[in-house]
Amino acid sequence: MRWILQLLLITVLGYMFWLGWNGVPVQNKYQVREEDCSEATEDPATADDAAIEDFEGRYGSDIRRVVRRAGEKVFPSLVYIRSVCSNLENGRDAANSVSGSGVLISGNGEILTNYHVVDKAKSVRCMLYDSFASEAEIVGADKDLDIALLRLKKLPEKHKLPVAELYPEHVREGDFVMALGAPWGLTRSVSIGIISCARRYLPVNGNYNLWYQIDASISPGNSGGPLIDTSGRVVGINTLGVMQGGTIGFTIPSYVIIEVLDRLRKYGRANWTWCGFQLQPLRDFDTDTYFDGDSGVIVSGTDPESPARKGGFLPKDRIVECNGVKITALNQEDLPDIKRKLGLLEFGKKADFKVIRNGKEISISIVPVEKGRVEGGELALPRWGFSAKSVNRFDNPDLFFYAPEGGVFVFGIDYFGNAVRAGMEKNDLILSIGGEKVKKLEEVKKIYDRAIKNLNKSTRIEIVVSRNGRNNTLVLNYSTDYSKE
Amino acid sequence: MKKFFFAILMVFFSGFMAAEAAAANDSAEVDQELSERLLKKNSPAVCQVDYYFRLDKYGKSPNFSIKYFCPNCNNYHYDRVSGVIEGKNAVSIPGFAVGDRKVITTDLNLIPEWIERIEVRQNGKVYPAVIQSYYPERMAIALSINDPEAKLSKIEFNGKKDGKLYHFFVTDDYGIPFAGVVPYRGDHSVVNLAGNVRYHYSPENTVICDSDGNAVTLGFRRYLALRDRRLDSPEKWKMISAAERDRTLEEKKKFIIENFFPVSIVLSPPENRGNRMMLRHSQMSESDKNEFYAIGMLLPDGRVLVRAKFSPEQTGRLENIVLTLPDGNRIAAEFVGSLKDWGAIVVMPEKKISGKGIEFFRGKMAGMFEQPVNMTAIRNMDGKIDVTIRPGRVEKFQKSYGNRIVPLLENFSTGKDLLFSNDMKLLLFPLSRQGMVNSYGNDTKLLDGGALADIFSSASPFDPDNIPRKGKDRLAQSAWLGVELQELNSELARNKNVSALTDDGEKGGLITRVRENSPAASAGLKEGDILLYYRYANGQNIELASYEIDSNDLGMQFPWKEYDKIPEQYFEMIPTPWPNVMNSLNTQLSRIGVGKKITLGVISDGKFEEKELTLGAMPLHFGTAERYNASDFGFSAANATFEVREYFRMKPDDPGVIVSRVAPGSRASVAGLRPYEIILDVDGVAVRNVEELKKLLSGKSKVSLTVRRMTVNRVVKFN
Repeated sequence: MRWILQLLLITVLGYMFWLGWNGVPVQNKYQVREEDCSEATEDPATADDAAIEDFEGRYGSDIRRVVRRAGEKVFPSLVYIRSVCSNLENGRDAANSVSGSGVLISGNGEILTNYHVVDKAKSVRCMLYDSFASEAEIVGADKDLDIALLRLKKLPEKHKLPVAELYPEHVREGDFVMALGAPWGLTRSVSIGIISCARRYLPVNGNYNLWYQIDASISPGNSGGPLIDTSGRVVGINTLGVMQGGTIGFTIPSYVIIEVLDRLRKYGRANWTWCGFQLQPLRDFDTDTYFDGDSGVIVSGTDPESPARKGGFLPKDRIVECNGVKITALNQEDLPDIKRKLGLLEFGKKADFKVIRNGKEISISIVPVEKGRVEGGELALPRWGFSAKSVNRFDNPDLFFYAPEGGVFVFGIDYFGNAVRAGMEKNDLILSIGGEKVKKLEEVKKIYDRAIKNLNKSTRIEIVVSRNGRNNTLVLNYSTDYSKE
Repeated sequence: MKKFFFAILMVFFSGFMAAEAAAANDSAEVDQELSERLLKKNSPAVCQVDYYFRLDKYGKSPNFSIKYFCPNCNNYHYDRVSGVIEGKNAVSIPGFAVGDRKVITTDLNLIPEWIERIEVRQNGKVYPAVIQSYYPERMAIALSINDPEAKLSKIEFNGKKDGKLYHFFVTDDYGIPFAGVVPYRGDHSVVNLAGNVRYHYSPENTVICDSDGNAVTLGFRRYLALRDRRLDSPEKWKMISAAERDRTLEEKKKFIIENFFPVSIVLSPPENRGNRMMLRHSQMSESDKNEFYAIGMLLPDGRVLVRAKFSPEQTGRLENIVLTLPDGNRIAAEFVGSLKDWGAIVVMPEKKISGKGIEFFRGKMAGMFEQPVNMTAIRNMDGKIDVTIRPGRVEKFQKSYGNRIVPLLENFSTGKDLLFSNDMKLLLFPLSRQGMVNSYGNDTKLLDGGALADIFSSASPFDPDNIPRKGKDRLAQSAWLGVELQELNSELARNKNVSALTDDGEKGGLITRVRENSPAASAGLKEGDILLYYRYANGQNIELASYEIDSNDLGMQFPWKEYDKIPEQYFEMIPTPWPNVMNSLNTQLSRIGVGKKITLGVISDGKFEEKELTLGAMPLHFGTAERYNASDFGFSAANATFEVREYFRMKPDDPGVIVSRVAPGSRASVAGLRPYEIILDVDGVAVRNVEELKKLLSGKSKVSLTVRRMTVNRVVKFN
């Protein structure tokens, strides 16, 4: 029975998982939905049009020359990054060598790249256009935006750093863009394309931003590299590619990055503010769902223990104003902006909401809190053959559901280790080890260290896990040391 | 040369047999000279009768073996007829020529349609033969040879009865006949104490002759109860012609057909929709089927006994019973009762059936020794009764269920065939015991007529709980202990110090959870105990092999995160995120039934003990929960039953019903509703059960639902 069920699920899910590339830094798990690009809602580029004319006046409109000039302008700021990142996903502390790209954005050596290029990095090495190489430190990194800010540990003495300019405005569909970076580690590469969609909604990560969809060729290694316009300005950071999608890539717009740069420098992360809303737009073509009216955003639910729930928000409430600013999400493309605005509220400070509930307008004030970590800590337990990770409400909501007071789960399993023989599975919530209840990683560490010290006394330990809400007792026999080899 | 060899063999063998006979008896010695004389006189009349068999009308080989005595092993050997047919072999039996074209040989109790041809061999010549007549008292038949030219060396019956007598016996060892001489032992007799009958003992296939070798008579049976008539020569034997015997068999067949009917029993489909698995018919186990074919037996009082083992859960779903009469008419029958401990139901046909009904044999079983009986195979061949009757003779007995003595017959397929006495009273009836009483499921016992009669004459022959049910009553028939089990393994067993008791973790289930107010809780079971076996009604201990314990574990976390990506056509195949509570243990226990007492073997705190408990009714679960099909919207919802509430950590007063089905392409599917989502409210009104949902949805087309997918809420609108 169990086999049949499992087989069935795998058949069903087989549709949905795309093959990842081992050690490939560009995320490629996203499946593109066919939907219309939304039309540009405003026209921010009147000034830009003038700039284009000016540009044409100076360089002429020959596309070859335009592209060459723009490339030449930004190429010097392009950085090739190689980092060694710790990876516990296979149950061992197996460090991965990751390569990516970045762009210099300030004279003191600040480099913008993707979070996933330097995620859990033990070391980050950067090479500039002129082969100048230096280690870099991580100034700030945000998983939700997939953005990291690095700083070179030493600067070239002979010359000033070539700095690229971040373009604070929106670009439009059809604009020529170039992706710079090191696809497959081939440094100093450029590919050209257009903005296919300037307001692409992708339900990944924290949903704090819309994306630029581009048709310039992007490959693993392009991650963190700049997307530039024909004037040589950085309009975004290339982040996502689609493995089988041909020329479809996704870029985080610069206007979003600019908003969080200061917080990255100040807190070492974006340090979003958390209200705990589950939001829904007024109109959704896909699910044929339409709410009356054309203002506000629907609260479909609230996260447990969140400021929003404590503040008394109920499902189907409609938020129309926050701190006196009108809020509207007509379509899902409007959601990231709202989430970012809410995420950039000052935490610990009261926020006033105007809400329509059952046709009546009411006011609700809540005190948003710091979002804090969006991912739990990790711990490798080599002798036991698995790695453990703290449950994080944002990263593992389904596990957090069963462990609201904190918990530890099986993050990775070494398929040549002891845990796999005991029948342990990924995402098992660890309730107790050797009879001791565990909720924190430190407790696991303590029991593990003690077990390793007492190897001559016992090499068997009972672990109770919860899997799909149901308890299982596993006996881990770690008499064999598979981690030796 | 051949003859010489044969003679040596015979001499050697006769000496061997004689020595043995001398050791066992104090009868007259057989000296070499006498032996030679008798052999010389009688050997020429010995024939070899070859039976060639054929497949029956259904293309099957007849299911029986031929028994013959092997002098090498001093024991009986059996030749399976299927092997005989396959090898194009014949079964060779010794016979004696008694006329120019007449041979008497032993009766193998064959049915004429199984025989392809019979050949008689004598002196290197082969003659085709047919069965001419039967001698039922002597277990012998007479064959007549069709060849008008044939002239067999024959035996003349002119011996003197009053002198010393000898057996000239013939036996066959893989086609080579052996013969020998032993003293006549007819004066040695045994008495069947129960039947008060005296029997005379004799070797098989013998010519009984005087000391000159002149034949007195022939003998084929080991026990002969004919007293003075036992030395009558074959001319005086009681004879039935082959035509006469065939006619009696046909009459008996007709009698069976008048009193046995194909019965079709239809159950309504099970309510368990816990996991919507698609099963082909070939993958279905008995309990998955909703239509059963059985055979009913008319009782003298007009009721019909149907051999069909139904659990209380199955009987609860009983819809209708239809009998097919011999004339092809189908009539309905009313359920009367399920036998208490046996897998059979009694039904009352809506019209009186013309047959006389089958009477049970109630005489002394021991008195049936050496009596002719009818081994009867009754099959339901596509709505028609097909009968094969094979005459036989009770030679041995065995103990059956309840320390009762029943006949043991060769070629009688226990568990399938019925046994009738010569006057067609029911002697043996195979029935399986009710409930799960052994782990193989094959718990068929042979009930003799008297035992059956006792069941029917008891004060309450029927199980009051094993009856058809209607409505909600029907759903409450699943039994359970109220525990969650986890399979043991060797490591777990060692860690719990129960390796010895669990065969190193091969059997037994670790109790990971005991539900409050469950039968297990009231029996004092607790978490960490190990369940080894259960036992019902003096049956066997049914051990829980650890590989049989299905924790129904998906082996992975339920993919809530990827849920939107599941294509619509797979909606109905998504397994439930929680384990199905109707697991194999509960399915087995439901076969015993709610309210029945069982005994559990448990290891508690390292100590083994037995505990008794009464099986409780499982509360309604996702499979049986009440549902509402909102067909206008294209989804169904079910009440959130206990295991659903556990999985979603819903408190008893939390509202919510669970989506049980979403039709692909329906409005619900387009609106993004998915199976196993919780509907919290409709237009802002909290929904506690499907009845409320029905009220809130009926007549409406535009509604908005608040729906929760594991942890995330959203509003689903139907515009």
